[in-house]
Amino acid sequence: MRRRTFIAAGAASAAALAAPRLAVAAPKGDAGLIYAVADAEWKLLGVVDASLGDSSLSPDHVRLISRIREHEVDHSAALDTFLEALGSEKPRPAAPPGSGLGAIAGHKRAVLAAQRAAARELIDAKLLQSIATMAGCEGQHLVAIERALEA
Amino acid sequence: MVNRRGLLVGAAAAAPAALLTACGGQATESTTPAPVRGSSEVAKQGDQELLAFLIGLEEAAGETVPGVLRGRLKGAPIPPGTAADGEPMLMVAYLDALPKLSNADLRGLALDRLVEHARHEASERDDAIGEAFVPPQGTVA
Repeated sequence: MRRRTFIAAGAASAAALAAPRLAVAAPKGDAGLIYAVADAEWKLLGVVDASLGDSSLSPDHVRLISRIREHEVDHSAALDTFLEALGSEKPRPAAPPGSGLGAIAGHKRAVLAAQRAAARELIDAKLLQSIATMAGCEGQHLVAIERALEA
Repeated sequence: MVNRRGLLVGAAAAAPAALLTACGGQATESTTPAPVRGSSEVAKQGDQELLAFLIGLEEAAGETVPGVLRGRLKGAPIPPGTAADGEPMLMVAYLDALPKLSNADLRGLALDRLVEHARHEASERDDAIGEAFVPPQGTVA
């Protein structure tokens, strides 16, 4: 199963699972936790986009950032789907300052921190596993970034 | 007593067949209910058994379990792990285990291990970012 298919399937199943539960016991805590992850993810995406417009970056770094962006767009879309299913607003924070792989790595660590905080408390098992999957992906991105910065 | 099969089978609705096979189990053989969440003795016991299971898998794969995680094990026997597929197997094991852990601190530590194994797996590839973290056969249906 390709990664995008995996994420999309996770998002779809979480939406299907979460929506009917709202009438019974609205997982308010889950919505707040996912909102925090999404907020960090959108900030990361803002820095990624700013980096792609930074003419001082090397072509190799731009190529890597472009690939990272594809994954982050998938993550953001999945998180939006989760929040929609939970009846929550979607965060759209202003893009923070900064660009380049170092700045992206910093925001990735912030996303990981939000994911870890969510993983501690999330009630919905599918949401938890989706967030954990994204966390694994962020960890792998960081390996690629660290490798590129050392090159 | 929750056995390894039960832990895996109950963890995710679509636990990968390869994982079950590698651990010597089949989905239809387990009738043991999953540990309940919360602070009850049942939940604590479930966490301990799951933690012992994960440590057994790590050791079978030749991994060094961080002291911060091992230190949370309070006497539960570590079953001999049979996992030999390395990082992907361990990532899926932690992914499956996360929703079954009732203790928030243990969940945080489990996520740390999942991310660490994902990092190790990526560093073994030339293209670290490639197809980032896809559990075999997909765990989240």
